[in-house]
Amino acid sequence: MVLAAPILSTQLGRSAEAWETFSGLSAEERDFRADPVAVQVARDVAAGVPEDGCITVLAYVGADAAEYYRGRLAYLLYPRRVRLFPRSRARTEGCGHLAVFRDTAGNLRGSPFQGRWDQGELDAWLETLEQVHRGELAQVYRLENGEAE
Amino acid sequence: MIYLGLLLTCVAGWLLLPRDYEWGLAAKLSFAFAAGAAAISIEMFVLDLTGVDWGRVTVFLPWIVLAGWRGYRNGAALLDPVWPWRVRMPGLISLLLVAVVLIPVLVWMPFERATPLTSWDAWAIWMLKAKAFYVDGTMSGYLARHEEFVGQPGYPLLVPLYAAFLYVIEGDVADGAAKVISPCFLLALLGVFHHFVRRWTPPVPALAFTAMLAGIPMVDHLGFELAGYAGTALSLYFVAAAGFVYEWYREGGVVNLAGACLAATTAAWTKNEGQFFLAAVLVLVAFQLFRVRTERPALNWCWLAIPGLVLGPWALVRGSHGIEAAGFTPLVDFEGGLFGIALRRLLSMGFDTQLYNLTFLLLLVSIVGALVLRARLLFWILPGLAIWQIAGALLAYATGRNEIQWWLGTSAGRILAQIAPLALMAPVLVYGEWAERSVATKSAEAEPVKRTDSAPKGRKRKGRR
Repeated sequence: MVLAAPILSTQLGRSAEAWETFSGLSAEERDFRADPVAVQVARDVAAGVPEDGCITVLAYVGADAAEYYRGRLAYLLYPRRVRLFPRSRARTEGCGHLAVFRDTAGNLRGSPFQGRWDQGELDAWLETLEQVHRGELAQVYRLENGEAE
Repeated sequence: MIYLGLLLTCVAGWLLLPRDYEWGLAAKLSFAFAAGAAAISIEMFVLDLTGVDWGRVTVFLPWIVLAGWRGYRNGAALLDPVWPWRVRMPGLISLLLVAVVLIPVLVWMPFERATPLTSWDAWAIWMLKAKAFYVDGTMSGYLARHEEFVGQPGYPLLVPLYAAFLYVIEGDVADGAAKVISPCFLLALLGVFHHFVRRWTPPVPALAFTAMLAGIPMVDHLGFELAGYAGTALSLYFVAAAGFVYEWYREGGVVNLAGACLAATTAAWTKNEGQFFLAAVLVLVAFQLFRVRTERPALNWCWLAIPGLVLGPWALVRGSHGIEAAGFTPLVDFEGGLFGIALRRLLSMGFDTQLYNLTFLLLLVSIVGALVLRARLLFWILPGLAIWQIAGALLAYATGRNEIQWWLGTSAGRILAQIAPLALMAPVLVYGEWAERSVATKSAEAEPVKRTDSAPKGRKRKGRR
């Protein structure tokens, strides 16, 4: 216990801080406070895609972050099918919706974007699609080729 | 409702525990939670395989029937040792040590209860499955879609199915609330650990060792900060199986034999590392069954079939969806260089007192101590199992399935934390052995003095001079 005491003392401070930050919040608010970007993107997507739907996400995110968002959105949006690509163009066959989002500047500084992103080409493509939800971080569009999910 | 689910878990486990076995209230509650969580997860699995929907009624019904039957058979004795007048109160020093055991829990608990589910492995592997199982109302939806997910779909099912049970009780995916199962597994681990070490040492050292376990930083990190992950549950079943197998070698008894086989099977039902552990336990059990003539030998051999009954159907289900158990094969894909890198990292981490307190140092000291004390052969079961698990981890790292530094950086701490409680059992045994021999030596030294007591007083005084 003598060896553990300094660590427990540090942990006591962390526990107090966590309690101050999260106590009194609902479960959804806690999730948002802990992971604001992924939770907000999930909220935006969920608002535009039915539970049995499929969503292709074009994400301007770092290479490491892409793996994280792929897993995180699959968790938060289940049972929706989620495909995430860190580039501005991807195959969308069999998937009824498209979402586009850009990570925050802070996150991009930590994990810089390394893929191919042609904003002009993407804008031209999005203009041809019906926007079903304009979220805070992600815009959701309906894809005409994605009915056969 | 999640807390009601936890309470029902203890009730279910209590109904499964044998009546004619000696345990205190804390130990019985700990074993009840361990048995209940395992049994409920298997019940959920069987219900799904047989096409029965997971509803509150269908999940509760078998336990209501069992409660009725056991109540009819055992009456009020079923509640032993809950009756207040049958619970012995510990002494002041013991009470103080119980408080010391609970300090780390009380320090960490607000952190765990306040924070949402944030640990990668917890949600990407274990709780994603739980959510998917609950939302789909079956396992097959997720398993059929396994290629979509970055988590490990082939990993065993205790935690996902048990969490899905809690969601059924709650009526919603309350992941932030359900991750409290990890602290519950940790509390049960402390109770089970204390139950065994109390058999090997006097009350105060037993509580002191339990306090030490409760204060191991990485064990607490695993149980509270990584809540929702299966590591703490695995530690619990490791300790239970190791304790039972040791007790079976020492004393025999069908409860110890059954406990060893069931707990080791549950370890394999919790995490893949448990399969490696199960293999060792089965070898130990088979060796003893061959060596010693027991009553009803055929019945005793039957306990070895338990793993097949539980893990076999899961392997079939997994195989039918084309899902691999882990994605690598230790020993087959072996690279010596990677083994060396992993060994150095595990040693440097294991002996870091900031991470594991004195656990692995004491394991080393206990091995030396056992050699010096010429401990009985059966002592080597406990350090042997701990070293076996470490060797299993090293063999996994040596497959090179992932980039080694990344793999070690993201998992070695947790792997050692899972093994730490098991590793701490061997030092307790050596301490117990040493203490017992010290007492015996003192008694032997005191014997001649006792004899002189009956001699004439003058001679006695002279003798003392």
